[in-house]
Amino acid sequence: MRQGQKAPRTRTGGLRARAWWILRKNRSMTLIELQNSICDGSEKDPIANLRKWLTRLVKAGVLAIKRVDDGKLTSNGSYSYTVIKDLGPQAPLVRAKGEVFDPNSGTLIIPPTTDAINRVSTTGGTTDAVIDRL
Amino acid sequence: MKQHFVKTSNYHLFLLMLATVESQAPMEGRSMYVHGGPGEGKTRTLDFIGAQRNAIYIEGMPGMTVAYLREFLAHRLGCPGGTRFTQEEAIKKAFFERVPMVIFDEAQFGLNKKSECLDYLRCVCEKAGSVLIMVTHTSEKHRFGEHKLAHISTRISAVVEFKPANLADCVLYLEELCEVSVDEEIAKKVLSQSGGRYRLMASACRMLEDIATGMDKPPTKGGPKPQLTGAEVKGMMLCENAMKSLRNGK
Repeated sequence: MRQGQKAPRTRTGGLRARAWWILRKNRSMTLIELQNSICDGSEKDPIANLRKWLTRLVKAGVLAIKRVDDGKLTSNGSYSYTVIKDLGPQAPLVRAKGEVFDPNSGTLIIPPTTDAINRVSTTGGTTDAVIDRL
Repeated sequence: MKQHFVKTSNYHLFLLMLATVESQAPMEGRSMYVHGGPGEGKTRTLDFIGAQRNAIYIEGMPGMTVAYLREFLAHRLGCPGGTRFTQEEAIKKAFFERVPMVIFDEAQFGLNKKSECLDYLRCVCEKAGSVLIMVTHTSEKHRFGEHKLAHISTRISAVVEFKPANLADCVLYLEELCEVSVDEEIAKKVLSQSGGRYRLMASACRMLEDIATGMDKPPTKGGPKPQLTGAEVKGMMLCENAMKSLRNGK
């Protein structure tokens, strides 16, 4: 909990809730596709906000990350995020300590052990390697 | 090129109709029908509005049945499993609690077997007072006007036609997304070459930025937008309308 906060967060709204809705609908999306669908230009740095949230969800095992090569020699390409645990209609939220809370079941999501993490073999390497680079 | 949703005239028309249906239509008439051609922004607009309203999005598919629809709704509402009856009760309960908007994309697939899927959705939405939005391509529009579908069509309170972008939309689109400042002549050129389709206008945006970079006027982050005039892109193809080329047999 942050200073001045009375109770831990149990629901989220706004950008991340919208991102969860569209991710559930399309299963797999890149950050740019997400931004294209849910942002209207009035948000302050939506990319940083979403990336932070998505990275936490990847670490918690809710999403899988995969590098999408764009074929350009000097480009890093982009990352696509795939829902592997559909938690329910309410968006999971990331608390100050980095914990991920699922408001649908009312439980904290315990990150899977390293062996159990869904490893995605791509040119960019495993999920762990990709998270480290982020 | 910037990446976000642009609120075009189609979006404003849709919102206006939605507000009318929500405020004025009776419980049994809270249905809307949306149609339009490819690339005219149907999916993008409905994604934007659906995400804002936390709607239930159903994508129609060939051979879909009521059983599939029930399972799907239960999954979306977070109450899967159980017998058919418990599922039905859980769906009804969730609908009464949340009153979610339902978006049925490719709604023509709900017309099979005497439109049982559409009837089922209509029943569920009607009881809770939810808005049901049916979306199809324009070529499927006539199927909803058939006599045997009168029980559905008479409940549709608003029909929204998504049209290709007009000049004002094109100017707004380029102004908001393109990293290069363009004059009206270029906007007209983009509009005519893209045929008012947003996905082609996005290609034109990227092309304009490449042209500006090639002219030693690269777009800079946070800085003023470089300017391009109609004379500078005279005779250039900013986007390729494949439909036009295919029709002409080129």
